[in-house]
Order: sequence, then C-alpha cells, then structure tokens
Amino acid sequence: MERLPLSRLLLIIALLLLVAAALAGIARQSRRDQAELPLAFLTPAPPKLSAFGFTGALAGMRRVAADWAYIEMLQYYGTGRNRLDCGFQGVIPFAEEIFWLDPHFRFGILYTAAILGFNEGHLPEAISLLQRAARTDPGYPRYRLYLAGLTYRKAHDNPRALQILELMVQEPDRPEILVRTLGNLYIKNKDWPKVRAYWRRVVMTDKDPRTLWEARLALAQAAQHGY
Amino acid sequence: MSQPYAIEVIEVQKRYQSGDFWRPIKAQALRGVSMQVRPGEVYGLVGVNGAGKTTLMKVMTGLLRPDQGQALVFGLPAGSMAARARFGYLPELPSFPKYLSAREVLDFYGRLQGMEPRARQARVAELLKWVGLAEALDKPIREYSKGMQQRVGLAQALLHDPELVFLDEPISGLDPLGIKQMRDLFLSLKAQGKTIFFNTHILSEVERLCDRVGLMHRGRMLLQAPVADLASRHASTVTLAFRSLGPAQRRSLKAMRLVASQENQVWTVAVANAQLAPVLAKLKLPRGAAPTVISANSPLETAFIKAVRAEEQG
Amino acid sequence: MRQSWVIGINIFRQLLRNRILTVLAIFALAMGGLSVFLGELGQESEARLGRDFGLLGVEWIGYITVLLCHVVLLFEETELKTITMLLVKPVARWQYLLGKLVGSSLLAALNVAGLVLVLLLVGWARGYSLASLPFFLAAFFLLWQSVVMSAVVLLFSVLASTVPACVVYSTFTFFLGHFTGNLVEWMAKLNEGAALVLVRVLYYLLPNLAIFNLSDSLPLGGENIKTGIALSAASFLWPLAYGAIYALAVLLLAAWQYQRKEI
Repeated sequence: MERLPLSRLLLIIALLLLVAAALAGIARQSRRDQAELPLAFLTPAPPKLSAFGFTGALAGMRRVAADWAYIEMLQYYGTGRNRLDCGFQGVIPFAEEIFWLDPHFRFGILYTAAILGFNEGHLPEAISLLQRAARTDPGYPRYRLYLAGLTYRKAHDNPRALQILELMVQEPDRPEILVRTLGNLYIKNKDWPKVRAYWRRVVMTDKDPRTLWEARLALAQAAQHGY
Repeated sequence: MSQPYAIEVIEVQKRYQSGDFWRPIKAQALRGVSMQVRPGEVYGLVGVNGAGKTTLMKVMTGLLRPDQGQALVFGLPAGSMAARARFGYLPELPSFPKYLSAREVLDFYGRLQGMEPRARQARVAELLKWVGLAEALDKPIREYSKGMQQRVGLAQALLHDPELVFLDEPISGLDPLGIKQMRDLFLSLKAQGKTIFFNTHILSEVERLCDRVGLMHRGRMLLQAPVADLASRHASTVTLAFRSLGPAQRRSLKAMRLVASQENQVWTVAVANAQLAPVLAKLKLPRGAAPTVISANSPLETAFIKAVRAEEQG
Repeated sequence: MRQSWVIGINIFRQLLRNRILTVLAIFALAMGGLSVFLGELGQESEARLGRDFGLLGVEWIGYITVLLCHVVLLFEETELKTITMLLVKPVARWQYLLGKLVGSSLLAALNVAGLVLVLLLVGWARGYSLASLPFFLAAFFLLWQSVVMSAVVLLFSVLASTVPACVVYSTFTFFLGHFTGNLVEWMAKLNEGAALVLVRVLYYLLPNLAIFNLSDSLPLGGENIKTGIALSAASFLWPLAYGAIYALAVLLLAAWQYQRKEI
C-alpha cells in the first residue's frame, strides 16, 4: 500500500467505481423490468406535488412518501371545517399524489376514491382515479367493483349502486368508511332496518368520537321509526 | 561492531504536518538528529517542551516517517513489522477504551502480538501482578487513577517481553507515590537487561536511572554523553543575584571567567559551589551588598543550561 | 485479515459498552412508538405504515450507528491518542481500518436486528404481522447500505481532521446518495447537457443508496403483506456486489491516505 503510486491507486479506484456503476445500472434495469414502482419522473408528476412527495420520489422512497400523503389526506378529511373547501376538494390533489407515488397502494386509492365518489360527490375525479388504477394494477378486482358502484351513482341508479356497495362492504379489509357511506345512503332512502343494522356495526367497531356521535344520531332516527 | 545498535538514528529531519489535507500546517520538528543506543543501555532524552523529543520517539517507533535520514531498530527499518515485534512503547499519558478492563485491553494487545491464548492469559496475569494491578484487573479502566493507567500502559508495552522499551514522559502527571512506583518498575526492567529509551524533562530521574543522556533543543541534539561523565565534568552551581555590580567587580568576574548578565537592573552570575567563597572574597562587596541565591543546579542542569545558552547565542 | 477481525471484535465490544448504545436503544424504542402513532393516524393501513416507516427507521438506525461509531473512534484517536499504542503493534494500518469497518458493521447489525424485533413485537401487539421474507430482505439490504456508508464515513474520518467535519461530509453524502440514481434519469429526460455531465460524475463518485432500498421495488404486498412475488436471485446479487465493490474502492482510498497520515 505504501509503495503504490497515487496515479495507479486512482486508476484502480476509477476501475472499481466503473464496475460498481455498471452493476448499479444492471440493478436499476432489473428493477425497471420487475419493479412494483416506476422510477421517478418516468411518468408525469401531478400538478400539485408536496415537498415530501417530490423528495421521496427523487430519493427512492416513494412508498413512504405515499404513506405520508395518505396520512395527510386523512388529517385533512378529519378536519370538519375543510368541508367548506367545496366539499373537501383538497382530497383530490392528495389522491393524485398517492396514486403517482405508489400506484400499488390499493387501500389508499380505494379509500380516497370512496371519499371522493360516495361521500363528497366528486364523481368524475373518483372514476378517473379508479380507471387509471385498474389499468396500472389489472390484477386487483376491487377497482372494477368500486367503478361499477360509482358508475351507477353517476347514472342516479341508486338501487344498483347500493347493491354494489353491499358487495363492497362484505369484502374483508374494506375501508370502514364504506359502512358509514352505506348507512347514510340508507338514511336518505329511509330504509330504517338497514340504517339500524349498519350504524350498529359502526358503534361496535369505530372509536372516533365524532363518528360515534353520528352513529348514535342515526340509531336514534331509526328508533323514532320503530327500529 | 558485530551486534547492531538497539536504536540508530542517522541525520533525521522531520517537518511536522497537521491540519486538514487541503490546508496543512508545517513546522520543522527535527533538524538532522543523529544518535545511537546500545543494547542493554538506559538512555534518557531530555529537553524542554517542543524540543522534538516525542517527534523523535515517534520516528523511532515508526509512527512518523522522516523526511530525510533513517531510523533503525536492531538494524531493522523503524516501523517495519519485524522491528515492531522487538520493542514495546508507552506513550505519554496513555489512554484506553474506558469501558474495557485492564485484562481485556491486555488480552486484545496480546492477540495482536499473535500470542497463543494460554500463554497470553498467563502473561497478562503475570504482568498485571508485576505492575501492582492484580486486584483491579477486571474493573473498567474508567475507574482507574492516572497512575494505574500508566501502569497498564507499561504492562501493554511489555506484553511480548520485548528487548527494547520506549517510554514517553513515563512519570508525567504522577503524584510522588506514583513516581516512586514507576521508578521501581524501571529499575526492575534495567536489572533484567532491557534496553530502555525514555523522554523526560525531569533531570533528577535521568540522573537516577540512565546510563546515557541526550539533550534536545529546537529539533537539534545538542549534547550526548554518559551521565557519569557529565557529573564529573560539571559541578553543581548556584546562581547569585546582585542589586548592583560596579565596573571593578565586573572586571574581577571576567578575570575569573564568570559571565554576569543584567536583567531589570538585577545582575546574575552562575558560580560553582566549590568556588563560591573565593569569588565572594575577590569581589570585595560593601557591607549590605551580599548577593541572593536564586537557584541551585545539579551537574546535569549546569551542563544543559550551558549547552542551551550556547545554542541560543550561537 | 485475522488482525482486522480481532480489532473489529474489540471495537464492537468497547462500543457496545459505551453509552452510545443508549442513544440508539432510545431511537429504536422511539421508532416503535412512532409505528404505533402512525398506525393510529393511518387507521386501516396500520400494517403498511408500520412496515414502511419501520424500514425507514431501520435505514436511519443503521446510518446513525455507523456514524456514531466512527465519531467516537475518531474522537478517541485525535483527542485521547488511543491509536498510538495500537499502530506500533504488528498491525498494518489498512488492517486497522478494516477492523473499524468490521466493528461498526457488527454494531449496526445488532441495532438493526434489535429494531426489527421491536417492530415485530409492536406489530404482534397491534394485531398484524410484519414477519415475511420480503420484509427481512428489505431490512438486510438496508443493513448492507449501512456497511457501505460505514466505509464512506471511515474515509471522511481519515480525510477530515475534526469530528464535526467528518459528520457534515458523511451526512451530506448520505442524503445525496439517495438522489443520484434518479437524478441521472431525470437529467437525461430533460437533455440538460452540462448539468448532465456534472450529475454523471457525481453519480459515479457518490454511493447510489437507492439501490439498497428494496421497499420501492420489492412487492411487499398491497393488502396482504405476507405474500410476495419472487424476484430473480440476480436482482439481489447486483446490489450486494455493487455495495462490496464500492466499499472496496472507498476503503482503498482511505487506506492509502491513512498510510500517509501523521499520527
């Protein structure tokens, strides 16, 4: 080591770095072929991308960045006054960011689509999201199920939409928000036995105080009608 | 000479570099130093702080490479693996990982020396007993006093029973009891016939322990001689301070080959003990003008003061 | 190599007993707590959040471990001069550096294993399981990343003479190393000539840390975190080989510079 001249050392190091770079390139290529997540900016970024999302995409931490966007979306949706923002319109950029960062974040995409389409009436955005998700992840059937439900809602075919929602609620690991969505739709339809059935489920499974208050209110309405 | 010197330093120059690699700070630490130490000799290197003693020792142990010149240990290049196997080194104020015990530290160094497990364990126990740490060998080193750490340092230097031991300021920072304990250990090493090379600025220890002594000042070796020779050639001196010295008195001193120097209106003269009475008699000082003794120097101190003054003036 | 192993084990032992580990243990517990907190925020995605942020914690604990190891060792070398007694033994300087790499990597492995255990226990307590081959693989490659970063920190500890300088350069490299791979793609896409050349040079010099992050490429599972698609063995071999060769290049440079360093 002591007698090795600097020029020879630098040559050896340069060769090693070149070999390393080649290996890195092969690793990147194999990921590109097999990867779940596309590398950053191969697909166009959404117009409103948060700093964390941008950094996460660049730094190869897309999954974590998508999780963070999901948490921020939940925080936004959980803040009541954001309803004044044209019915939680702020959820739309979150949905786009989650999908762009991690198109395989199935639960996050379904949850946001459910909020947009079934709860807040942003049907075109919800349908667009689910269509793109279904194209990216064709092996996941729930996207098509949710699409069906939203399509019927858009066509004001409430009975069919409710049928689809009933199917969605039977699925394991479905978003709990769907149970509340279904419960609210049955209140609108004045189907009091079903109102009681679904809101009782909410009372037994949910811990959020606001949701529980909403549930007790619904059960009281059902009780007034003899259920 | 059939047997090589234990240490041989030939015209070593070293410019010391420190700081970051893109902004180095350079200082000339050694300026053409040459010296030899014979096997079995105890050699003391003295000098003020910054004289270059530690730098020279680092060159001899291979921690630093000289810019010019050469250092050899038993005829082998300093710093070579073969040379390292033949000496032990105790740095100034040795430091050890605080959370390990003395036994663990020595066991680690023993492994590095390539010692077999059984031999290593036996040697570690033997050494720790020899340096007086048998009771504390399993305590963490952070609970050790400075003197105890110094003794652990000495033990690690002797682990592989080397022929030559380098000791850098071995009694620096120790209390009187600690100094005595270390001195007794050095005398024991001397009795075993080991070659000892140590740095110090405490001349009394050199006088007690060393066969030969070297004096360094500003990176140069000013003086090398057997201790006995220096003691016989230079007498103990005292330094006298006079409030005033007239021209006649100054002429008398000059005739006696004594140099008087003035600082802040006070005259000082160094006079050999044996010559004190005759000098005072010849000066014929008026009543009340007797000088004050401001310091007394041993022969070694006298020799060194002369050498340093000559270097600084010339 | 035997000398390096002896030095590495000794460094591992001394750092293990150093209070440095307390900081890391607190970090591991904090990550466990963060998993619970994020799980509460994330509601039904608790398992996914626990896994993803858990792996982020694994990456960080690995890096912080190796950084603290080398910082402590550098402090001991420069301030306490513990190195002098070791380097006069029959040990080559490159063996000593390799020993530091071994010791710090062993400690990183211990801490990563500890954090993974904490995450598994948190998952078990919260009703989900993180125990799956893809998860363990992802954690292993983040540990391998820590070994590579240990070599980088080691190089900076040799080049820089102060502890803060070493920390700053290393952490800067750690952050930049996550971006370089994607930056090259991005710059190529934008056809930025001179900037592309600069980024390519940086790409070759800086470690490509995104290679070791399998979270984004391993199908850790959407809803069912227990199943995964088997990737080809080669997909795992390339990052391993890349890490080994890059670390070797860095170590060579560190060893050459250390050989010339005045102690």
